[in-house]
Amino acid sequence: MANLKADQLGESVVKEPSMMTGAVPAKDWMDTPVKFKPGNFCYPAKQNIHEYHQKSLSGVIGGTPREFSYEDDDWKLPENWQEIILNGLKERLGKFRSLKVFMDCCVRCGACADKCHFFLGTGDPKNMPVLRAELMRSVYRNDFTTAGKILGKLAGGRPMTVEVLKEWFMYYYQCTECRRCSVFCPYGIDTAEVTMMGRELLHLVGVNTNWILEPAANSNRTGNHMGLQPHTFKDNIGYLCDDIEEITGIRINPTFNRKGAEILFITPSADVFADPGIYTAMGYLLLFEHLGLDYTWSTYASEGGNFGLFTNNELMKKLNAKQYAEAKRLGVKWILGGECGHMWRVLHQYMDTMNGPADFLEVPTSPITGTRFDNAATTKMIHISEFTADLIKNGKLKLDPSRNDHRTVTFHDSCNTSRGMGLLDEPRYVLKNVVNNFYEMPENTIREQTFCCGSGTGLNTGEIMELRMRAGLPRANAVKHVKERYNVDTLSCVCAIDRATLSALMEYWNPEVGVCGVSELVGNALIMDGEKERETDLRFTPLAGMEG
Amino acid sequence: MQISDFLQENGEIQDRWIDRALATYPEGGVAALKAQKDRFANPIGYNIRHALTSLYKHFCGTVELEQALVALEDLIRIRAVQEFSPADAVSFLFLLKNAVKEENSTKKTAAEALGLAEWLAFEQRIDEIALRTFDMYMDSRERVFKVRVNELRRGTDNVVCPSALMRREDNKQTTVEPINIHSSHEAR
Amino acid sequence: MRVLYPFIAVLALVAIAFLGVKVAGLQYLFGVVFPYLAFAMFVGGFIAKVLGWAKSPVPFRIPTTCGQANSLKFIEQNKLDCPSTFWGVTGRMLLEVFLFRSLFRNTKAEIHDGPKLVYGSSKYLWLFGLLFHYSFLVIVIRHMRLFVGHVPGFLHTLEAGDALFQVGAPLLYQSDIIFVLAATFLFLRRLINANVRYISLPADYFPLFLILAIGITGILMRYVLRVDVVNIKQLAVGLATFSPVIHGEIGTVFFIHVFLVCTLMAYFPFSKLMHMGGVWMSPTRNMANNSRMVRHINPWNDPNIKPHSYADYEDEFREFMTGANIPVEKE
Repeated sequence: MANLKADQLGESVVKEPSMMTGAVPAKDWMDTPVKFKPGNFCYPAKQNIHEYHQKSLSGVIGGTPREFSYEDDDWKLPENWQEIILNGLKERLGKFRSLKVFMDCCVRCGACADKCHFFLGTGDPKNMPVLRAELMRSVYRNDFTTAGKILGKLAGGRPMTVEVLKEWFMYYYQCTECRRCSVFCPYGIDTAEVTMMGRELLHLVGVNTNWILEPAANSNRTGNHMGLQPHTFKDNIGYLCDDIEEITGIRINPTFNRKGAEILFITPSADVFADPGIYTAMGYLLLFEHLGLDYTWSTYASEGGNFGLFTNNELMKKLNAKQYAEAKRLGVKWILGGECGHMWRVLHQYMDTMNGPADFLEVPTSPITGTRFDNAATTKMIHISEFTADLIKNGKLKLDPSRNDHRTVTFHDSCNTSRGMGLLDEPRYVLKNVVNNFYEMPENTIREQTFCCGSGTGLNTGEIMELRMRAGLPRANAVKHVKERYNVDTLSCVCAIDRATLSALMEYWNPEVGVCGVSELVGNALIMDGEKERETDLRFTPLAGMEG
Repeated sequence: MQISDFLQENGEIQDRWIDRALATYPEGGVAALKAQKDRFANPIGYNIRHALTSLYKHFCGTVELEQALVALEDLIRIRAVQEFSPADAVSFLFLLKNAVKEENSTKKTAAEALGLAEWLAFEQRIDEIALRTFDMYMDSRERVFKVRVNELRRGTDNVVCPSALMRREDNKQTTVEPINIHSSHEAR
Repeated sequence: MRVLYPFIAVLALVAIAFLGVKVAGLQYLFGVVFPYLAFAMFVGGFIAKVLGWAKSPVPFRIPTTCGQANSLKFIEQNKLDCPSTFWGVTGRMLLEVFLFRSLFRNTKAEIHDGPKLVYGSSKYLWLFGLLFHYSFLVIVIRHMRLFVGHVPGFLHTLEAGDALFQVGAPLLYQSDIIFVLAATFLFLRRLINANVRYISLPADYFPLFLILAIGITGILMRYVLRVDVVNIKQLAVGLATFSPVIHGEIGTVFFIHVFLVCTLMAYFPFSKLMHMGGVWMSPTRNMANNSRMVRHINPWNDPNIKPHSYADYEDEFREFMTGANIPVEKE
């Protein structure tokens, strides 16, 4: 190909689209095998990590811990892998009505096709949500329906082969379980459910990724996904307090693992150590100090995020269980949760069911405003945006939004909080009270129609950077629009994964746009008692009018 | 005939060119890229259309080169992270040559057709833009790598926050190596 | 192949009915036995399928929230797209089932690419989908007049409404026209839209062909090849009262029509047509977004899955914790 002249190359391209894309011309998707090449797949779990999980969850983290690469032809699967997958599928059909209904009632109308950010960014037909689900449906039809058993391929069935398994791995790890397709599906078919089941099944035969299982192992053992030990965790927050003191002149001394506190505060650990999450954490610290809140951090339950959600429901439950366990041990009244997307999917839709009832806690009541959060009457955990919005509404915060005047802000709805919780207007309410320059992105890219950052569900790993950039294109494209139109330079969000992944995404697509948490902007605006005149924001960037 | 007049008179060349550039995406995906014209619902389709239209207008003499290059850069930024080889990523430019050549060969009279000198000049302009495009491509690729490095540095893969890292230098206290440092997979 | 096989299959069905009745004279088989059999398969299969779905529990409360949730008092909830009560869910389901709310959501068309006005194709999908389903429903209801001795008033009203324009003799029903047009649109969309063509299976074309063939034979019967309606009614009432008789000559096209309908009924429970039942069962739509208000029970929740305990954690890190002045349980 290299010695073709340029215009010949052009011609060959027209005749053979395959050569442009690396994809075999797609006569029929069932006959198009996947190709693994550097940059389009995540690495498998390290042997010791795989072993670690098998100690406690041997039933659902299957396969043999081993060294191999997904580029290899032989994935060293268990001998009876096929049987394991089919039995696993059968078991899950019996446990999840969602899966069973979604396997049966898709009419392939195609309404979901162009709703997926992965499809929009890659143009790969198997990234249409309907085909992503068909990857599993075809096997379901072949082995679990009468028509499929008799008619086979004519009924849209195909046997479970290694090629199918590889396809599953490829495309169930090119889905961020963002649920955007399910908003548009006339039957509410949620590809996230299918992807979750696909990943559960893959884990049964030892097909997994390190980026998910290692943080999960760390969360289990040390309480947070980075493996920070208790003293390091505390130290890091101490350093953030040092920065706060330098900026505001206020010394904050938060407490850790303190029994008898009224509130336990849990946030994704990335807020404690990763840029730009740390500025969000500084915002929390300032807010709680401003209120004189009786709260404590925990080093044992120091991870709000839950990598189990990306693995299987068993691991999700195990990791999540720490939060209630710690609340009980410390004897707090209720739990306050920081800004995070998938953490809130778990807290809102799964936690109480999995690890409740939390009868040792009380219905969350703001000690400052007296507002009872009846929308969390049984789970007893509320979102920081709900908490802050209530404070602002009741006039309990002294705010100077002009301290964010050096920023022009837009807001990215995280998939999980918008489509798995309905948290849309609380953060907006907070934002409008702490910043003066706020602009929304186009209508079909926000709220319940928001586009994913492209790297959720444990896909925010460096080895698939190009893939992430592609998947995040629809989001970046909308940001670019408000950047050009309103000079937006700050993309705010309420999600720790977003803070990490949007930073990378913006750096590539819109280098002038920074990423921050909503609470960071709250922290900038808060007028603390006895503070010195602020010259910079929490990032040591000069405030508007202080640049000189 | 001047190339600008030729392109203006034969506007269908532009559509053919865009169609062929879109055809460089996997079959099955193309329909959506073509059909959905909302800029936000379909960024790839929009950007291809926008960049190619701008370039075409540039050759028609109605758009400045710099303006067309801005649109082109947006497109290259996208193609640099898609599964194209470097040559394939910028090849769409040469598809315009083909489209013009084909159209030209259908012309019966010299008045309708491009002169040799015009053709050669046009070819050279495309080649020059192609070289600029390659610069853009490399710039985008370098940016990907920079993003990866910076992501590591930001601490998503690190154990301590930046300010903590700085302070640790002058405040050497008992630091215990964390188990499972979450970065070694990069070495694979 | 994906289009051709289903087409041939439908043609074969027509041929079977034609030969069966015209050549072999199996009027009783096609007019009585098959309808009973197909009806039994339809009802039995439908119930079995729905029960099969119902047998699997809904372990988690997973509504897709498509609007602002029930939250603080001053934040307005979107009660239909993000319901938190039984009535809200009911409203959401009714909108979904009867107006195809989710498909409609798809209609926003913005114009950014040149000064052209572009409509999302899905708006047509919503429109034609709705037309198709409603005209189908009207036609099915209209057919009820054949199965009852005395035709109730509402059927007369429906028929009068359906023949609003009072053209043709016999009167032309709009629903017939709309039905065939909409089904044709759905078929052409599948064929022409490369995206949808790519994802389509034989199982998508077969029911379309079958339904179109039913429509066409029905229309032929009403407007072109006249059949003996009195005898048909006698048979239909007989079927409904479990005393079927076939009197005189009815016309082969009737048997073809009936056989195709029988095929559709028998095929229904084993196919994607079960979306008729499935749409009611979808946990992302039929659950209230009140997960934090009312505890949802998972029948197979495994109490043996425990967190890594605090005691083990403290045992491992006690030294560091005391060193950092973090309170511990055991000194």
